[in-house]
Amino acid sequence: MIDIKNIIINNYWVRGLIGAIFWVVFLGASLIILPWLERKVVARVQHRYGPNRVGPFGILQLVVDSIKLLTKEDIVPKYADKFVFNLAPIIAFMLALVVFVNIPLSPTLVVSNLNVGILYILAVSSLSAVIYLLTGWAPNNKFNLLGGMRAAAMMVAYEIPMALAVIGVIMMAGSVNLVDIVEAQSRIWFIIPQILGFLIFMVAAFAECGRLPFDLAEAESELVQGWTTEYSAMKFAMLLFAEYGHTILAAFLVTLLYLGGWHGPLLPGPIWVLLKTFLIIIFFMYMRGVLPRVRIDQFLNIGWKVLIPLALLNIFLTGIGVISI
Amino acid sequence: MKIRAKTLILEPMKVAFRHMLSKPVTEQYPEERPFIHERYRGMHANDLSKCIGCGSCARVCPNQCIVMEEAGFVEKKVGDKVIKRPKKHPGIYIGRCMFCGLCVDVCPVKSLVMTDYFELADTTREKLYYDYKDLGEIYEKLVRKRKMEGKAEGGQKK
Amino acid sequence: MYKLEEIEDGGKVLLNIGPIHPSTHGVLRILVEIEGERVIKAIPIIGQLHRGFEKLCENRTYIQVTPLTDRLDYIASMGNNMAYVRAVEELLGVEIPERAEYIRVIMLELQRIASHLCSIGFYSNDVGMAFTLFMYTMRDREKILNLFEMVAGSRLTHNYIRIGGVREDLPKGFVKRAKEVMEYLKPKVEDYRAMCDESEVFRMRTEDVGVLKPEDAINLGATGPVLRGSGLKIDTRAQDPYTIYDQFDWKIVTGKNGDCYSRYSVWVGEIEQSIGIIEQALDNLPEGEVMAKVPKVIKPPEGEAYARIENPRGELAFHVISDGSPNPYRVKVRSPAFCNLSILPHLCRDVLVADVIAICGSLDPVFGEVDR
Repeated sequence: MIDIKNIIINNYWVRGLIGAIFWVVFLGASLIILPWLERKVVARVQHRYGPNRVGPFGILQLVVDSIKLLTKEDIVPKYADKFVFNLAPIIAFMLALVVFVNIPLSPTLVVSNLNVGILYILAVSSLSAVIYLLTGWAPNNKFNLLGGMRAAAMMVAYEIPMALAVIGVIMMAGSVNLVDIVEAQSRIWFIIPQILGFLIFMVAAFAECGRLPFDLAEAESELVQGWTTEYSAMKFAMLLFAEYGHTILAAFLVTLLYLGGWHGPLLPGPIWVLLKTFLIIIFFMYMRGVLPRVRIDQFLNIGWKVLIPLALLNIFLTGIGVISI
Repeated sequence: MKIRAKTLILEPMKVAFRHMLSKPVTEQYPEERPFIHERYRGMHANDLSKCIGCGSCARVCPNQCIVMEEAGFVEKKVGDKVIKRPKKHPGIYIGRCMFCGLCVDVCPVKSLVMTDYFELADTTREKLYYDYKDLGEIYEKLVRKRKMEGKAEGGQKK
Repeated sequence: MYKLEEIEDGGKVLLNIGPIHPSTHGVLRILVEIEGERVIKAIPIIGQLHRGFEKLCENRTYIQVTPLTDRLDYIASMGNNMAYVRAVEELLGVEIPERAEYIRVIMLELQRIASHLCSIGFYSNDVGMAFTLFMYTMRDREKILNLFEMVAGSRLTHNYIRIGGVREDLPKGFVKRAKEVMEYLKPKVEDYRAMCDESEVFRMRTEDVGVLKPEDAINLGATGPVLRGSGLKIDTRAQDPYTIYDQFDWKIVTGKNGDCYSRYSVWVGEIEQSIGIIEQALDNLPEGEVMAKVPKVIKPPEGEAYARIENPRGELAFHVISDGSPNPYRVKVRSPAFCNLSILPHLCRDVLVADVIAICGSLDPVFGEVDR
């Protein structure tokens, strides 16, 4: 037993393989459950039941939807750029998955404990702005183009407040490594001294994931389906999964950076992480039913003119706090 | 940046949260039948014992979907002779009907009524034509039986 | 019909917010010339729901036209019945009994509440709220539609207001039920205020968008909430009182700026005023009969009549010309949604694409009425 545990912890090939299998299975399962959960939560906000016909509480609805998506015809428009059209969903899905290598579930349960932890995550999620440009350009459709251009501007504008809010956390924890940041919250969770940073990070997280009130890329009432208009069948499913992957990643980041990670009274560490992530995801879904959509120029106004000064103020106050304590 | 609402977004969040915790208002349709009021204008029904075949309903229909059909003979005493006159009853083509209720309003003996049967979808256009025997049957089953049983209100199936 | 202008740098794109779209209120096609996200011109193209109503009326008798008028503005159909019936009654010279007048006022005000609830729901859908407010308003509108089912027999196209009065008297228990529904609606209006007026994002999205100045509103022919949203106190119920509106105590609701938010607040204010009128009418309902003595075959003398009422969307008017025969010679409908929709190109200069949808929603078109 002890020999196998040593091999798992020290031999990075074995650890990588087991970790990859675990995360793929975990994400696959949650991508089956999350759309069902979203439809149920949003329906409850709207004072109605969600899907409840197919299976008890409608659990089999996603199975049936997946079968439908698998058997639909895959249409490629005639004048589209075929190579980019087929490449974009693959890149989207890959970028959403590759970040989970660095997410810890407990001080030892991490696939690869990078020393530049949070910087790696922010850098890879900045790359996802390229996805919107690819899917906006490839299908040769005006609605796609509008959605893609808006989304690319949106992503670029909200990376900066996100990074600045994270700098406050880094200053308080003293390191960029994710495990160290969570260990530094053993006395007090960072949400309390960093309340301003928490709010800025939540707003930026909504923008990065493309959720209401910031779902300009997929504005259903203006552009028919936004950036995914010409995609059908499994490619559409992969783009949707990429969006849910970003949501799960943002929820994990909020848990680890602000809500104390695995610190909690009774239950073991990983269970606390998953529980807090689950609650944050339900909060994201609940906010979908509450607010209307923000217009693109007001949205960029908020990003550049309001959030960046607030984030700089947050860093200033954190600096004063860290020096004086 | 002008701020217009005092508490930014807290009020909508409170309203939505309250709704999230209360019971939904959906009626699960095929299992729970909806409550239909007495005056609902659904499928027509004709009391063949009262209908005199005057044809007012066919004349007043805006879409001309009522046809008076031959339905046998009725014997009448005129003086000391017995004459056989043809009897007519209405048949309705539901495909053109807009359920306005003018035919019911204009009937002089109040034999044509509208019931609460509304699940009328069918597979071919020919089946949408209800001749006078069908209308009589609907009257017997839906209206007279219910009057005798004490008027059960609600969307009952045929 | 339209011409693309050449500009040197930058390209113009012609976007078709097409007849089948998740957010136009029916079949409307808007041709939008955009440059990036800025709109240069927006042209509405209508006519996809034309059914030839005015020609159909020439081949039917006066009583047979009444169910056809239901289908013009199908969201507020008591109003259409009322305007047509008033025009014919003016030709015939018939006097309506008082109980029928009270019942007509109650039905018209209930219809106004139902139609404004629909408008609020559809508008919040356009602005981007994912169906939340839409579901709440539809839930409340169900109660009013149940009241209509109890009285008239049908939920949407009622055919209840007839020449000479109303079709049948109110059933037993209606007054109690109606009062319960009014008590149910009052806290719901507070809910709508909380979801929209107190929501920073909703106000950001609708304030200062599509501003219509008062003199432009009168010159371009706006009517109804669009006109009152710009601050003008013009309402047919006050200017030219029909039935017994001068016996009730109510106020005209106006907006402040003429933007989309003011028009929305006119809807919510009018719901509250209607609740007040209905409660006053239910308390003072007189006894009597509900239908005057009208001949079986209606053949009005030669002449013409023009009757107008205040529809939830504006001023609806019917012009009926008769030549002594059982069929009308000509029936012309002046529909308020058509006049309001023609303001869309004026309002949509130099806005963003997202605003075109919001402005079109706040003008509140119903295509049964626009296309007839």
